[in-house]
Amino acid sequence: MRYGKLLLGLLVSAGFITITCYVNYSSKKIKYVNLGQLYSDFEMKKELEATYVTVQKGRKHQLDSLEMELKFLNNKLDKEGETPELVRIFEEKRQNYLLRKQQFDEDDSQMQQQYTDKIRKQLNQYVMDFGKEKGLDYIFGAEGSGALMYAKEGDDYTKEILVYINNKFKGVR
Amino acid sequence: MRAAISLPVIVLMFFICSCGKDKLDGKEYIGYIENEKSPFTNSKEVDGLVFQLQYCPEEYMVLKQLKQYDVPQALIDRKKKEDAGLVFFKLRIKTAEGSDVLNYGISSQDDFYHRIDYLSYGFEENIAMVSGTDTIYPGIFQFERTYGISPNADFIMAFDAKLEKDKEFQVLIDDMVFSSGLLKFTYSETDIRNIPQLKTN
Repeated sequence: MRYGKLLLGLLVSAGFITITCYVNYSSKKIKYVNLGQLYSDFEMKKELEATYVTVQKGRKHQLDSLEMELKFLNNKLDKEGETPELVRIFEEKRQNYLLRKQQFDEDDSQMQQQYTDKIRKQLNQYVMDFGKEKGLDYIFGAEGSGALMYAKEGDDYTKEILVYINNKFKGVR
Repeated sequence: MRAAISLPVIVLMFFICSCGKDKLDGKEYIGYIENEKSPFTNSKEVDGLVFQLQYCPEEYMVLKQLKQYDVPQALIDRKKKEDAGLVFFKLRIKTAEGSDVLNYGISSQDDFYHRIDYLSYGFEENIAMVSGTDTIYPGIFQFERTYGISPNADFIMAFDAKLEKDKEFQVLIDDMVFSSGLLKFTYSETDIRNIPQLKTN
């Protein structure tokens, strides 16, 4: 009799916990976003990308000029023969070109890294702000890596979040 | 809870807006401008740091400078004449958790002094206002040092800019020490034109 009551108590408790968990889980607001689209259509990313391309073009232009000079000197060396003065000038220019190229390569990768970090910081923050404002419990990122294998189309918040984060970036209230 | 707090503010804003250019006394005026829900205060949080930019009308600047709520109209008029064409803003940078922003993410004393130096003399080069096709850098810029009394970093800046009627304009901030990336704050000339008037004596 005593064991019967204990068993009944346990069953009731287990049932209560199961129902609570189910209700809690089923009432969670879960949405997802297409990360690739979100990133590529984020205005900040587009702006920084444009800046990066401009800087790269400028650097390429500088390197092209130095390369031209080297080619010109090389032709001169072929035609006029290797005088010590000409060889010295050629070697100086070549060193300058290589140094500049290495410097630009390093700067490019550093700039790319900095831009990526800045974009990531703001993107994450704005998505978080969106989630808080909309009272969502989770926003999953679908990136095609298998992390999110299936999601209902109606739960795709990519477009809505994209409008929100671009407005946030512009500082529109 | 949030809705309960927002509702009275919205009602107040609606009341003020619907009354057109009603006159507010000094205390109300400051409260109106500093209200986070007003169109003059714009803030952004990025990675634990909060950037709060506030548009400051001339009347607001005078009230704050004099630290009193009753000011004569003649004084306001004189200040307006002196600062004609200047658009003032107040920028506050703070940490989301309220700790000292100048020491935020700092690993050495050198970094700290570098940050102070940058915020005092270099930061203004990374701030601009875009109005129409013009990009204007601050004509007046001041970092208000508090020497540890306040955990925030406060700045006053003014741009010699002409606002286009009914158009939006932006303030851009791209700091080099907190590395939050380019931050944009958009304002509307219409909102600024419709600021309630200050009651003066």
